[in-house]
Amino acid sequence: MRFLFCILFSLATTVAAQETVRTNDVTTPDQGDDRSPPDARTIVEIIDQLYRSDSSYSEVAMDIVTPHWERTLEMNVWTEGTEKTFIRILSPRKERGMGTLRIGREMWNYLPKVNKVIKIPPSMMMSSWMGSDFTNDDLVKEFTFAGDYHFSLVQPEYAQDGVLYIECHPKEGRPIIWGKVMLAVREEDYLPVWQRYYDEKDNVMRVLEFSDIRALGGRRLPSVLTMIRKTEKGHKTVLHYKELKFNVDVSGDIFTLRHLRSRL
Amino acid sequence: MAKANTAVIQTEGLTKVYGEDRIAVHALRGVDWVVEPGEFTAVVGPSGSGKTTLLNVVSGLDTPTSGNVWLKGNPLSGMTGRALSDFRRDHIGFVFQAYNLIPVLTAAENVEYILLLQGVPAEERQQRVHELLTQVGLEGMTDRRPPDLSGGQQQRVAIARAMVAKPSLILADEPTANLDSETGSQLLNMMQALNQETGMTFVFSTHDRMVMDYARRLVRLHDGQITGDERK
Amino acid sequence: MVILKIAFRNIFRQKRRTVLTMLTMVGGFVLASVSIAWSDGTYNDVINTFTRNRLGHIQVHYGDYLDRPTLYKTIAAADQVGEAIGQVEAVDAWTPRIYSAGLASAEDETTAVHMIGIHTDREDRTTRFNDKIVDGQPFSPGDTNAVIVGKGLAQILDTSVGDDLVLLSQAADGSLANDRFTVRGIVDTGEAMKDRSDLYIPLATAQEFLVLQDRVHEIVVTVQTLGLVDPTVTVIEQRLSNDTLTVLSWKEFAKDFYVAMRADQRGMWITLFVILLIVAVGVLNTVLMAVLERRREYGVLKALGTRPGQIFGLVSWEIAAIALAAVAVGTIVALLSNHLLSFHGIRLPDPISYGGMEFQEMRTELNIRSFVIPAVTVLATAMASALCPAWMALRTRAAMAMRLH
Repeated sequence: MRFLFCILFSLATTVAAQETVRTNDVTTPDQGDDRSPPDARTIVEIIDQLYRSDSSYSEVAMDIVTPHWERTLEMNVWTEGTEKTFIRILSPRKERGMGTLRIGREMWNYLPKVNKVIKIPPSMMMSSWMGSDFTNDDLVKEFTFAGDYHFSLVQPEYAQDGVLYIECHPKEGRPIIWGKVMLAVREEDYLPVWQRYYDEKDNVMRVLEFSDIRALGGRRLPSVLTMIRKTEKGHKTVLHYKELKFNVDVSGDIFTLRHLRSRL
Repeated sequence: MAKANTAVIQTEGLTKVYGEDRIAVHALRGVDWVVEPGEFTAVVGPSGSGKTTLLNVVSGLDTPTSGNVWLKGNPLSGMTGRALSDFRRDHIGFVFQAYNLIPVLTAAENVEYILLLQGVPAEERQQRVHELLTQVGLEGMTDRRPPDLSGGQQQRVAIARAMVAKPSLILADEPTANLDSETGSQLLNMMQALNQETGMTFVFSTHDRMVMDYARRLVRLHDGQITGDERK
Repeated sequence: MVILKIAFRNIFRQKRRTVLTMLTMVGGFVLASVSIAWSDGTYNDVINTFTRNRLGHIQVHYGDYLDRPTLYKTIAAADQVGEAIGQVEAVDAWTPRIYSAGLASAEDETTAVHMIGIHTDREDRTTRFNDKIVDGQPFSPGDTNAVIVGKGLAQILDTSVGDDLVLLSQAADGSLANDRFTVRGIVDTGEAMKDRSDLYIPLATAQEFLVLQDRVHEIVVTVQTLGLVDPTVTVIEQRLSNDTLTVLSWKEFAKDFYVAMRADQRGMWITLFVILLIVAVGVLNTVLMAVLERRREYGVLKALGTRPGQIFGLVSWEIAAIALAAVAVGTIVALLSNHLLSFHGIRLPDPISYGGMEFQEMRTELNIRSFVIPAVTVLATAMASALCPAWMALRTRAAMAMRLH
């Protein structure tokens, strides 16, 4: 789940981490026979830092598909560190101007129609964010595979050539609802192919697929992420990164309730 | 096994044993007996000689251990309980020693009872009941219930009831035992008269001298065997 | 029939014994009748309180809404469906509802709520909703942005009548429904759990808010009497003739409650059994004594040519006559006491709690059942108890009987 967080609101944690990513970026194209054998830790650290930076600005389109309706939300997203996120919805018209502000574990929604800021109560954290297949909780969680999971390279039955598989089990005491997470990454550049989230009984609960790798914010990243909930037939949410900038200027009052309450 | 003869009662090798093995009581030991129509017969003998048993077996109220009974040529063996009931209703009249009557019915109703069972029409019933109660000298007491009648009167009602359906046979088990001698003789006189008038067959069991005096035939029973048979 | 005459007269032979036997039967009858009437009265009281309070006797949903509710399992053209139901003769009232989850935000507090869209006047006619409003006003026709909140919810939101609330929910078209409402009233339904999350809005507003057009999630129906529920379910199914709609009686949609009630009713049968055991023992005693006393009489009757069946009948008729008389007397006594207890219920020192509701007074219900069941069982028990003695009577050996002086 934390991954989603990364996706929408990529954040940089440490310079060191970025170094790792960059090192990787540099080495990836260098495919030769002398490449060292894949190391699980290296891979999960790459995955963890893929979309992170000190700050970011992105323009995202979110297609939500359900058996009953389909709609697309367009939004701008600002992030700062791992703590702060600000989202402003641009379309459709009905939702235009709605905003979400997150600081740490607290979240507020702004409803322009009634000019009201609503603080999301803890009981609603598992509810859908804006009708998507992501929950409010997905925006708040800050777990990393490297820090919060035990992980190892595995060779599952469905393994394909050119893809590496990492099985992650949450460490004891972490408030993580998954029993297991499987990561699939491309052997050539360690970019994610998909992530599967399992419950305690080893049933796939949801799948996040990565596609359409392009240059975004100076990195090569999958620009389309598709979240499919296996528990709800016919439901999926597709994120398209149209624009992504890392290390932008987020000074001023972007991450304030006053800014949240301001009209577009 | 029907016997084509005119006898009212015929028995052949009649035995009756109560109980089993060592406590067995042999009430009847091979009784061969014939009663012709119109007889006025007394079966006599001391207590326990088998008189009552004989009458019970002859009327189908009890079944013999062995031997056969024919009533008017009909074998009783093989008749169902229901057929026996119907046979008794239509062919045998009973007079018992005491407690003869249905206590909740009036004298007239007691007499009428058998006619009701037979399904005789109401008008005929009324007439016959009245006729018989008059015959036994009880007119005016027809609506009394047994507790309101004397012993003799009760026996008269019993006799009227025994005769009302015009049976071929009337069995009377010690009919005078509970009566004083005067009442007893009145009753016997009456029965004798009825026997002569109607030709109905009467069979008594008794150890009453007076009954023996009235009887025209005496059958002596001792230890379940006929030890004497005299006609007057 | 002469046998009947004898049987009837035998009744008066031992008057005291007959009276005692009859009293046993009358007592058994009245006890059984009152306990059934009482059980039924309480049962119906509980069910009526339970169902009329919120659930209704019959509910109509789309498909498996009840088991797996979603915003999208709706009854289309709800008005027409409702009108068709309303035309069924036994139907007392019907009301459409919409259910949705949402977020309610008052001045400072925000909490998850269970939104219920209710018809501004049908709901009251069906479940007496307005009687449960403890503060403020009920909805009036034409109300739009008004809400009535559960008592507990009002406390959680720290809101009172006249305050504003913002509601947030996901509409059927995927959009984020949000609007401002005024608290019109506060309701105490007696179900504290629900009152902590339930929030009522006028049906038309709910339909617009959630973009449901003319659709609803549920139609709740009440019928005139509980006994009419099952046949009415069938009639409604026929009238609607729509396979996509599920029509259920309270026995199904409140299955746990129904099962509990059934278990409760089983207690009644145990009571009945004990009462009848007493009757049986009483009857057996009387008849056995009478038969033993009258063995000679049966002997005489047999000698006179009475058929075994007739002797059996003689004994049976006597008991049947006593039992019939007992039933007649019992009916009168039970009618009086049941009638009385149906007005003046017995107040319990401590109220019983059932399904979240409290009951303090137990009343009887005057119904045919509470007379038919005791009548049938008293008669059957009496006759069954007479069977054995009657059999003994018919088996009386005239020969033996005659000897007993």
